[in-house]
Amino acid sequence: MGEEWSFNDGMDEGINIGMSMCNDCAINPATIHLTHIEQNGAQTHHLCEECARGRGVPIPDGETLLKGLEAIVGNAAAMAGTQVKLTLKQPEREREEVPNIKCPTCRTKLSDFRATGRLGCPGCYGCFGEQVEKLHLQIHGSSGHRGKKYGAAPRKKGKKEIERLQRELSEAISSERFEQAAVIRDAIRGIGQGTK
Amino acid sequence: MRSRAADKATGGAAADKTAEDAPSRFRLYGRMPVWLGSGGPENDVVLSTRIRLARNLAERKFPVRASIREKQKIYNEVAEAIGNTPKQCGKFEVINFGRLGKLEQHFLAEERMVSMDMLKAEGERGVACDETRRFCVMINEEDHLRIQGMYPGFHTLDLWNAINRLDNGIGKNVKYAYNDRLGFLTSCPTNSGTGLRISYLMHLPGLVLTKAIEPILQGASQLGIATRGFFGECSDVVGNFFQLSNQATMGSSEEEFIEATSGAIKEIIEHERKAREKLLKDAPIELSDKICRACGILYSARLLGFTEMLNLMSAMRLGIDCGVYKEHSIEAINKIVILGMPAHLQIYVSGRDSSYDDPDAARAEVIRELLGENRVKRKKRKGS
Repeated sequence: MGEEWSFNDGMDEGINIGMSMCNDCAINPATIHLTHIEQNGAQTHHLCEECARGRGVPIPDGETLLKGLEAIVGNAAAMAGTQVKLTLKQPEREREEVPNIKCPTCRTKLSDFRATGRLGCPGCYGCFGEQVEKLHLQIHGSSGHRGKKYGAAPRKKGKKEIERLQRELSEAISSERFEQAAVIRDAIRGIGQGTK
Repeated sequence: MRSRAADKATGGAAADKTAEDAPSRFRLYGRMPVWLGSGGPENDVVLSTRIRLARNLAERKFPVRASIREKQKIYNEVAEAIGNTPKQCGKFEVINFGRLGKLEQHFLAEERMVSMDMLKAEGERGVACDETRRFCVMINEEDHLRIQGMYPGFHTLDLWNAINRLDNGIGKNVKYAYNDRLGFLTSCPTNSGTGLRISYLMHLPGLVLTKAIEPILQGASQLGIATRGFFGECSDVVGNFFQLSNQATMGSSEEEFIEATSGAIKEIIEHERKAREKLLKDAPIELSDKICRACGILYSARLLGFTEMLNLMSAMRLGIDCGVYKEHSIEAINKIVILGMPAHLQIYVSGRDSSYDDPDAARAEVIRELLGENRVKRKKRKGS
């Protein structure tokens, strides 16, 4: 054998299609996904809006996107026998209004979740409940589980954690730190749900 | 006299020799991965079916947030749980992925027993493989457990039943993060609910050549089918291999997701077959030319990149499936594809005297040998 080979032979330096970053700038999240199909296969470029504009890719406005989305979601909804009406949101304003809450169990902040798309622990589902539910609706078209049920299991450690958080909750309420108290309350709910 | 390359290509004793020569005691060297076997249902279009379930332990941080010590505890807990599953779930061997060399890590990724993300993950992580190599469990990838099973060809509920049995077996030994309203809780909300992803690795050259692939994939997308490349989430489409899977994991039962996805896949299989028929009917010379040119390059090239190899092998596979090309079997093509992958190739040539500074040169030489050996054997059979 000669020198050690590199393995990045078109295999391990692919593109993350789920929550990917822009292929050009690697700074902004990719929101435009271009798939170019040739005779020998297809290649996908994941770009942020800014870099896509730089490459001359036409970016549809909010209303056009909304119509496209409505056609797709409406199709799925029609199969499920329901109707869907989408409205444009103002994401920037909404972000300003929502405080950057932190999961008391794993210390994941809402901003971390938004940046990476990853939650830190089962308790995050309670802590960021509203945001997760919105995301579930976007991704799955549903926010409720209809799959297999998982049996109840012993909850000793969960109980301990809940007791600790309940003490923190009492302290937060008595010192009038109500915002933090709300976060802890949600975390307790999350653990309760996670250990059912 | 048989050449050393011929011995390796035919497996058996030669494969064991390869294992001895390899840089590690890894027992999997020299054996074809089960998912790449031939003869599965609808194997002319669907190479393999994979089902995976994402699961996490209830009271542990997800790997993305867990400390090194926590990951160690999770690893031990999960490894023990897998070791204690009932016999009917299979006998598993847990491999500590972090302690493997880079070559072995890539070998497992090429065999699709671990994901490409596993190569980049940090801390204590592993993979438990069963003896048949059809089932494995990744530990501490994006989730604490990724339980997966792979069968060659097109499968639906038979594979799900096997995976479900394994999931139940492991789930009795640990406590999964689950709640009745949201289902199984996963690190990424794209997987929560059932945590189920059913993926079909499909070879769709007919649709690509007839330029029907784009509308077909767009239609599939509207039915909730996501398209990925050969190696799943982190890979591009090469060699006309597409991995199609369900996008949503919440809001329906596992059986409903499998039924909906497999239903769409069946339609795509039919479209692909019709496209091949159309090619054979409308452009037989052009099709034959494309296949023969691919063979010519594979037989003559002195430098061959992995992506180019997959594209050329795709033409050869199409020729075999359409009955246009009869020099090699699908089994031979599958063997060449897996041995042409970078880590497999490096292991395959590791016992040789020659030095290969360039993997593309090694790949070209090995493929020429394997193609030649296979053709000679067919001629011998005719004469005997």
